[in-house]
Amino acid sequence: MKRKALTAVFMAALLAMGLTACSSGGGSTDSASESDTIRIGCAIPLTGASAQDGQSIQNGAQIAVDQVNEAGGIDGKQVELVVEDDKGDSSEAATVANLLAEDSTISAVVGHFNSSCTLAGAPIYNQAGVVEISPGSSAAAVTDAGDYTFRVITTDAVQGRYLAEWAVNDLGYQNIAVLYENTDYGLGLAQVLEEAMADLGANIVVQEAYEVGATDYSTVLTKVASSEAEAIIIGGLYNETALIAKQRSSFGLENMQIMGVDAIYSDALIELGGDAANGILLTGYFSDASTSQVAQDFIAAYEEAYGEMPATYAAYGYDAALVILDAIQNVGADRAAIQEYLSTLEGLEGATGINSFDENGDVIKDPMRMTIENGEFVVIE
Amino acid sequence: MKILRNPKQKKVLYGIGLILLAAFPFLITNSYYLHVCISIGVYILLATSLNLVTGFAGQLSLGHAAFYGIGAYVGALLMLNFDVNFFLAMIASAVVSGLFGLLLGLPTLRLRGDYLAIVTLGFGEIVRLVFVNWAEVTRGPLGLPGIPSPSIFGFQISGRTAFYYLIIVLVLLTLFVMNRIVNSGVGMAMQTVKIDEIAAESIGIYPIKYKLIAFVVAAAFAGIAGCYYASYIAYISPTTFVYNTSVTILAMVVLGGLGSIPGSIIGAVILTLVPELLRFMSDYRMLIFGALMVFMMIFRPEGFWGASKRVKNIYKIKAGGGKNGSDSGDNQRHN
Repeated sequence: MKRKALTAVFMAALLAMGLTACSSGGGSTDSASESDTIRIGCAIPLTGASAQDGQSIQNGAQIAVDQVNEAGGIDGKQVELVVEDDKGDSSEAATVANLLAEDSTISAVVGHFNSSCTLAGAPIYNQAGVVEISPGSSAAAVTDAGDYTFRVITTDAVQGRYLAEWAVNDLGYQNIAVLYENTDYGLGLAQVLEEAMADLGANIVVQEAYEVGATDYSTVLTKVASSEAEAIIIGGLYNETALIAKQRSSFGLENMQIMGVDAIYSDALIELGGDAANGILLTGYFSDASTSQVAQDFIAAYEEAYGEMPATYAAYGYDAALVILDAIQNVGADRAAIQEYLSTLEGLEGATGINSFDENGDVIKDPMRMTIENGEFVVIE
Repeated sequence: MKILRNPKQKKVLYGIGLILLAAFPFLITNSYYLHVCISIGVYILLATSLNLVTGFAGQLSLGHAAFYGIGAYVGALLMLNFDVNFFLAMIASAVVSGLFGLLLGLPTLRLRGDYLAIVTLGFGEIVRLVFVNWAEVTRGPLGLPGIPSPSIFGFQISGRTAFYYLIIVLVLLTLFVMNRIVNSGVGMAMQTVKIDEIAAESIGIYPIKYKLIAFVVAAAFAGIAGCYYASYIAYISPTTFVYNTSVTILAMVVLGGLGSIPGSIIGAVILTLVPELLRFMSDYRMLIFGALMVFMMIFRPEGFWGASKRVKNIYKIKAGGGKNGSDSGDNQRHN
């Protein structure tokens, strides 16, 4: 009998929770019908493997919302960020997308983070006519995801091509060595560089893969040393780059220029690489060395609110929210109007650069050029 | 449960239930609620099919999501690359998933308990890795976008309401088949194997045969669920068919009550609804959810609708509800 009683209590508790959930849901629609707030969705992974990045995005987006609210809101209305966890799982993302798309008080959505989640949500957002702005999906397929799918992060191809143009057109290198990690990321970047170099009329004289986590780069560096290469472009992460930078002097390559995209941007590059890291050239969209006032204001606000430096995805989260808020400030909280406004948005300065959207909803922005001087990242003007 | 034993009242109850289910989209137009109902439907397919393996044949499988995924990918690839009609693709999904169930089952069903669990766990991981790495076909982690909606005689099924009715049909079909299987001689043999393999062999029931039947049928229905899911979401990626999903399905079966079809339904409903209802708790959602499951298992280990609630076996039904039949396994355990 005791068991039965406990079961009954358990079921009652479940039921009660269901009722509170419903009533809280109902409550929010009531407050929205009075429309004293503007609600923006934020669909990101808060549990699972990408939880840390999701939290950064939420924090970043919240900064953008707070800034608007402190300045008196939009037309006197306060902005509220409605956060939903998609667990980084595409099937959960579809549920969250339905939830946000159905709630007519949600004007637009910051999200999703993982490319698979953005793609799973895209048909739902497009059908319902809600803008989703991804702060983290860099996969090429997101380009074709629909009119209502935007992103404030560029594809890897954009940055790779920009780096190639920098090396060939501005620095005058004609013979390039490409060292890349043996993953889909490294291989993808190597392919982008190959195409870009062919278009620019430069030669790739060495193209070698290394394994992630390798500690000895003598094989690949010997090949570079015996070639005509004038610069090394790395398609990989900071750990390996630091080791390559350190080991190159043993092969008479101490003056060989090393270049990379923002995957090598990390304090660990400087810590591991030491003096050898000085002079490395890299591209990137967000850095605490950024000379942009918007970026510096964001960093200051973030540090004050959370007591730590914002991660890169926090800046992307901030920009995604910023773009939506800019649209609402200009055309109001109407879903379709926001889409129309964003499809022609040009030149909105955010923490990760100046945002414009192309006809596919992909962001167009030039990365910053950075180098390392005396153990610190510096932006090259 | 006395009401349910009276066949007339049972029919009336079923009728009312069906009407309510059919009217649901008209009563509630919120597409999020419909989506949750559709998700419940998909999980009912998955849970009742796994229940056949785990609940009735007594084999612990931790790789059910693999069959779900195989069905989804087979269906999606056929529809995307060869413009195959959804319903043909669904049959193909069922056949291919069933075939993989057979291939996995043949060598491994000789294993028992923990060992089989580990093998199925490994199978689930292998299948996931194939989805991730066979990039030329599956597009790897990027997944397959733009999967078309089904069409019948040129009439396109799209929108949540149509998908809702489709899943209701599939659920009813699955429940019908499962019900027939478990109440047939095959089903009885499965349960005998579950309770005591040696005793089963001694009375001429060849355990591996019945375990295999359970495995293949379960895999085929998971394949159907996968094909439906692929078409409904219009996008699949390997992240959906992971170990976690297998465990969720198993939790539905266990929480609902092993060896009970209504139990699996209740399990699927509760484990899909509760995380949604708990959304308002944001960060604490999965924590509370986990705690609820622990409490449930402590205070109600046989599940919401355990085997003890099952209407007795086929012999009784054949004998017009007489009292001579015995469902020895359940009685033994609950006496």
